[in-house]
Amino acid sequence: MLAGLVGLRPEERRGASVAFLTIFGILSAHTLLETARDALFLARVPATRLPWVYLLTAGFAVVLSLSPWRGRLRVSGRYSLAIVLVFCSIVTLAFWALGSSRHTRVLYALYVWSGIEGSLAPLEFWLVLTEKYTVTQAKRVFGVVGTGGLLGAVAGALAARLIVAEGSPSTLILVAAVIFALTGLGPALLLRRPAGEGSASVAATWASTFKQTLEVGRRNPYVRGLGGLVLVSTVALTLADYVFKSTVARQVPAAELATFFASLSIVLNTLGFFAQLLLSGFVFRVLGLHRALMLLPLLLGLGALGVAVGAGVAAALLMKGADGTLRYSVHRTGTELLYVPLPDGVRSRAKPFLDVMGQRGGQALASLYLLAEATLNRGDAVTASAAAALCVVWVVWAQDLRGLYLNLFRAALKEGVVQARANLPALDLGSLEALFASLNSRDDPEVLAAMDLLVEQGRVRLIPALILYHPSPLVVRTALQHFARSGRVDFLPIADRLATHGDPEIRAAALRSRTAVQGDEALFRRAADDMSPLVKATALTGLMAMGVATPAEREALRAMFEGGAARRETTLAVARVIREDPSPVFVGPLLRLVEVPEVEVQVLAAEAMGRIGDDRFLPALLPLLAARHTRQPAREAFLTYGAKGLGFLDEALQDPSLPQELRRHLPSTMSFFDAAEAARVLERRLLPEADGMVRYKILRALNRLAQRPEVRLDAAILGQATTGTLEAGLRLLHWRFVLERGAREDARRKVAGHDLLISLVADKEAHATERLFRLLALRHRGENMKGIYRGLSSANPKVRAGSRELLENLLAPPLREGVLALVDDAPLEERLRRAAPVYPAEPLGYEALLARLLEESGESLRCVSAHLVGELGLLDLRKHLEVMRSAQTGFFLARVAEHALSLMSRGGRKPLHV
Amino acid sequence: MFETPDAPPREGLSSLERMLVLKKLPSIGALPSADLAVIAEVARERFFPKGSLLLAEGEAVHAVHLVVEGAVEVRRRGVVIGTVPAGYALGALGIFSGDPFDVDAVAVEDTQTLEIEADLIFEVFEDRFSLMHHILRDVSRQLIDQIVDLRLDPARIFPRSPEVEAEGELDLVDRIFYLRRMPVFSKASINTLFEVSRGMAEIRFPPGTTLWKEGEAAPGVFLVTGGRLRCRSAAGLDFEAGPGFPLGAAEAMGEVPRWYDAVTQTTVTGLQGPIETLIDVFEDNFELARSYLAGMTRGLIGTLEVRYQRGGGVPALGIAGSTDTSGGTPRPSAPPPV
Repeated sequence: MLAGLVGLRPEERRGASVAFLTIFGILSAHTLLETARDALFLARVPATRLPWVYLLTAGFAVVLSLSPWRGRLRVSGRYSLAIVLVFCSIVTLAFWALGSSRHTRVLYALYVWSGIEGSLAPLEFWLVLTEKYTVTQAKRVFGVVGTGGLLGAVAGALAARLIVAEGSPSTLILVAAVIFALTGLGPALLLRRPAGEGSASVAATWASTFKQTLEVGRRNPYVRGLGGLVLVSTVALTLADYVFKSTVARQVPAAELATFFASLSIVLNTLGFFAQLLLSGFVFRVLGLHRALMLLPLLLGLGALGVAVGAGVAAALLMKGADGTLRYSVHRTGTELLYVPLPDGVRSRAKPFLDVMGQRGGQALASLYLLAEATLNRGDAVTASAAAALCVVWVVWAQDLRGLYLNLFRAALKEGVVQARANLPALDLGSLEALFASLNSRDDPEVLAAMDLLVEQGRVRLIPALILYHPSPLVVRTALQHFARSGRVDFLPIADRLATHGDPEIRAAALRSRTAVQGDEALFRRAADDMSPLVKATALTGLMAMGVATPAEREALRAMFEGGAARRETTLAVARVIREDPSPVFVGPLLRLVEVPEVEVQVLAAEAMGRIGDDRFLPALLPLLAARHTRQPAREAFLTYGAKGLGFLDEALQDPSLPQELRRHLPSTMSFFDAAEAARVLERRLLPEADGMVRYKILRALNRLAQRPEVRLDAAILGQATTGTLEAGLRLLHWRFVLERGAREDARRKVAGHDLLISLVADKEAHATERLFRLLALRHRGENMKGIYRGLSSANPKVRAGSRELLENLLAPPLREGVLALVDDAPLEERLRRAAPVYPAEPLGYEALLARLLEESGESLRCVSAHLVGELGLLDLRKHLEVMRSAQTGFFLARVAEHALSLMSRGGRKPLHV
Repeated sequence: MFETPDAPPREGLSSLERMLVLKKLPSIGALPSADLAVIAEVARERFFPKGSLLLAEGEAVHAVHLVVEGAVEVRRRGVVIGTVPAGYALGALGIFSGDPFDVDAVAVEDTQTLEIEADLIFEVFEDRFSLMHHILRDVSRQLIDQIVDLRLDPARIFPRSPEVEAEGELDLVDRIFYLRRMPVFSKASINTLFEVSRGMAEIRFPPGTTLWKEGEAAPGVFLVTGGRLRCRSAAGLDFEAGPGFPLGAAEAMGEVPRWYDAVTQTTVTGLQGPIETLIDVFEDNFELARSYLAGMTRGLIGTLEVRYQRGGGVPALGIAGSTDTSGGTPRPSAPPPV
């Protein structure tokens, strides 16, 4: 029942039960021992000596936390908790044997021991648990476990009450020892640490343990923050406790103290138990971890303030009531949850220190304060004021810790993330030397690489013109191109010599560079008689570019361009020349060049168009975006048009008559324009766009643009898109549930089409989830939503839990519930139940769903549903198939419907699926 | 075993020098500098003294090493099968295929490398699909080179489905069922397969039809769903293709001309589509692209195995393979399969 209340998964139930029993044993034994201690101590020693005992306890506990014993214990095996509990049993038994009630010194020792045991056993217990569970599991399991602890405390208090009614308080010590032994040799043996955990780093000496612990604290601000929280809360709680006990000691006769404390313990622990059972989960769910942690200091502070201003017993009861109700329920569970995100190595080193130093150190600090107060004799009101002030610090501290807590998950997700963009490296003297050395290399790729890098660094002038004598034609052609584009003229004498080079490609390249930099009519006329069509066309185009081509030369070029064996070389030559020396005179030829089938020519034409910038090119450039090889030059050409280019693309995006193969590339192209303007245009299309693929591409483009800080996005549009996408994802989840349930109800439904439909729905669900996270990334731009999204499907359960935890903290209800339901790994029915606030799943049967899919869904779902209907022979849905076949549903749907009808009439499955 | 000593023999490479190293690689050197800058950024300099082990036989490969200085010897069961000189990559095939590699790689002189972890490589590929596309093209080209050079039967090299003939005309759903049987698509999402299927046309050819001739452009792929074809090349290749064979995929992806004549022996049916569709699908479905790359890389490794078994030299590789397909001056051949 308890498991059901807190939503434990079946696989978690055994571990949670064992942990429940273990902490039940530990806390019942501890309560018995504590009751005996308080009764025996306060009966023989005045309450004013309590601060000294606190100090003594703290001193011993700190020494113990810094000793290397824990490391050795943890290396010794996976049964560290069982060993600790048996040890506690033996020591406790020794106190009983020593006759604790007879000697004051033994009473001091018993007090100290109960404090050490009270730290030691729960510490080891929680360390084992935090190693075993992820933060997501811990939120479910720790609630149950905490209930076990409180029940144990209640049971211990009840037992103490019964025992002291019949016998002496010393008997309580014996019973506590027995319970420690039973727990250590019983459930604790089953509560083992995960294999391989915790033994990685074990310090051998006191010094190294201390050093390692300090190092962990120094490097990790979260550990420091956590330590501070434990310290502040302990001091505040100790002061409040003192104020309360001081009052009790004054007002309750010594002989009745044992009964009083036992009774009080029962009441408080019962309250704590119900708080844990009924309140804890609700508080964590509604308030979140960090706000839940503020509950105790707020109530405690209120009570302490009441005592300080003289509100009397009512305020004192509020203070103690808050302490007793919340300390071991909400506060304890919450504090343990704060340790979960720490890496195992850090936690195993830090937690003992923080628990002991925080708790015992806090007690020691409080004791010092109390001793000072005892000397000053200012009364409990001052101490209560100090407790109230510390509660304020506690609240602020808990709030501050939230950021560090989330950063732990963020850091875990950031590991391995690569920046997709990197700036080109700067040129320094060392790099320059390396590049010059490479220019002299015998290895052509190295020479080309060095030239490319110099060009990219804007240092073309550093490339020596003599490189044109390089034996590699590729190096020479590349150098000529770089020189021509840079506007250099010092290379022209060598380039002119290359006009008679044996390689026509080099001759043409030399002419092109001449055209681009400084035309030479005589040179071009001579080259116009070249045997190579490539060189000839280059020369004729050069003459045209110079505006000196004769009608005969123009006609000769046109003839070459129109056809014949040299058409391909001619178009290439013309395109290359125009690319290097673009001019409005070439608008006509470029519009023709862009339509030739050769990709290289199209690329050159697109590049030239971008450099000329005539409006007539815009429609010609558009189709080039559909093809991979021409896409980039076409994009760059569009960019040169600025706002006009963006506007043209926006109109194209709104034109549903354009093929999807083209439209899907428009958003990405638009994302290269001015980021703010492109984002504004694209987000406007996010909701109205009907094509899912194009919508997805818009989203991707917006994700890219959102990396720029100047981009502002419309929260209303994003909110609407997020809600719609979440609903779509949950609807698919619902459909998958209906399909799976349908197959469970009737195994005959489990045919190939059924499996295919489930796979398709699951794919679409995954796709909807991806789109949802892309939208969330736009809404939470500082967050690594990509990392969270990936983390949710990580093989590492701790990374998955970390992603989930971040989502829980970043999103607000009701979106949070919907998103968490969509990404959860709980059974589908449970997820749908949790998603109800955003997606109330209506009752839907298997065949009703198929009918709906046939009528309402997209093409792929309709196709597979139709196939499944045929395969299952669902005659009631035959009409749907007939409508699908006859209506204007498109080629693919009609054909699938036809096949499904045929399958239905055959009443069997096609062999293809077998 | 893979630890790097603290003191490298020379000062670290500047970012520009790293770029220079990358630009020299035949396979990726032609990529835009913005792409190479990303790789240069994630690469880590490593130094291996003479005798250090870079890869161990039978172990999974976790990183690519671009050899900057020095040389690495590749050995199988102690026998040297090749050397990776400066300017070449080690480990790429292991990473792309996802399989352990059956070689040791030992630095034969003090060697400096640029190491890029596998996860980072795929992370970069996913963010910059142009890189992934480049590698797909490169691996496809090298696979063809090896098949042609060794005169192998591609039917034994390409990953494909069992020979099951499809019955009758295939509607969109039938196509999904058919594609799912192909190893490369077996883990693809159904949504993705719909996209692929929609971009393909079902075509039927009578016996004796020439689908294409050697040397023609290769714009697309023909997935045989029924019947048989005979494929012959001028270089002496002669093989048969049947149902499940992705005819023409390698050259279409590699953007090289058809390398054999394809003639139907029987009535042949198949799904024909432009490679552009598949590449667009890859861009939006990175895992599918990765799976395709793994399949092609395993094919390439298979050819290198054959070369090794025949006692021939195994070419050194750029990032994925070795032969310079960019049209530049061919590099001197060096041995090892990496």
